[in-house]
Amino acid sequence: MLQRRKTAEAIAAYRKVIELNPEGVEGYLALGNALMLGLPSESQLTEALGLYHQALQLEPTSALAYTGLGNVLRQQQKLEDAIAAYWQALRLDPHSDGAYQQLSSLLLLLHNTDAVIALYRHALQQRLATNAFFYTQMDRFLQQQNQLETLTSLYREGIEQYSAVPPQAGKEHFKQHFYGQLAQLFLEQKQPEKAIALY
Amino acid sequence: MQQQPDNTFIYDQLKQLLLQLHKVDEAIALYRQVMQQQPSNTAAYNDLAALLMQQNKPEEAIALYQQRLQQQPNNVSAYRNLAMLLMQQNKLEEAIALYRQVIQQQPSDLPAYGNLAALLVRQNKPQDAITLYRQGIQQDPQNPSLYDPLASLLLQQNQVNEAIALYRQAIQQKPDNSPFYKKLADLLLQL
Repeated sequence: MLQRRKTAEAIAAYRKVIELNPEGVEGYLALGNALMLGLPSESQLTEALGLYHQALQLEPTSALAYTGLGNVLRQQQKLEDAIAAYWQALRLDPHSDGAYQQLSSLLLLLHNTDAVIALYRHALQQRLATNAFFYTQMDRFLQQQNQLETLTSLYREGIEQYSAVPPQAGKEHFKQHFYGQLAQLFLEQKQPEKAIALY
Repeated sequence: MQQQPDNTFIYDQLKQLLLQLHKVDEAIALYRQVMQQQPSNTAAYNDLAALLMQQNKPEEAIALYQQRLQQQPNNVSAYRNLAMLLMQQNKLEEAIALYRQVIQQQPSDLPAYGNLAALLVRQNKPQDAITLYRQGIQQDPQNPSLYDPLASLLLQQNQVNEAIALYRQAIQQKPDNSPFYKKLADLLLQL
């Protein structure tokens, strides 16, 4: 009850932000995101969609607006459109953590193997995932799909990409993740000598 | 200059020329001459202090303002500038004492509240800083400058509800300030 009242007050405050500063994109994004909290109603989804479109009119390169748009489209079950919106967000801002998370969870849900692999590769090339869990989820899925060769090459690519990152960047655990995963894969394929050679 | 010792335009031109020619010592000497002839020329004091700081001579800049305060013990601007220099030199206790004097002499000087509160935070006295920010806001509730730093300090102290209450108060005072609405809403959704 209290939470609902606070959300309502926040939504009213974001409306005021837009009223006072209609040229500022942040009010539209914030209100859109607030409307999407919890289980949004049909009318809230429609309003949020309009807000993200308005944000894009003001700032056509806003990755946040495309991510928001993707979230609405996903809720509206327009999944192909949602995927396209998330990809657009990633094209505009390869650092967009939210778009990575949303897109990966949707692709995994849809069991879209090719798209999962494409996203995995994109994330590796950008070296931007904020935690190894992002890869772990996709590892599990690709193992279930028996994509072992692809996984081997992705892990090797991961080792290569994250070896190029200076240690002070704090991404050592990603490299360890890929070494560990690759070694595990070799062990499962009864190739212990390859796993040992890795270390 | 000998004919018109009070002509500030000639002094300014000469100072600029000397600085362009990198004759810093001569420029400093000229400033000191100006200050002797025109003790009320505040700009000359500030320019000389800035020049001394540029020349990495903070002690001389500090001495300059201390001398100014001996001549003009009620010169709030000299207190404020000296406090700023002391703060830059990490002489926190002295800077704090001066800011307190600034506030005593000019209770509506909100930047002094802000600077003093920041110093108190550096001395690990966040509650004193919070009290001071609130006193500053009470002096001029419609001035938006102290709300954000106070809210940020309250959040650092995990006092989210107090920060929310503060932004509600800020909106009452400044209903046309869009960033206050945004910050209030962001905080409400954080809870």
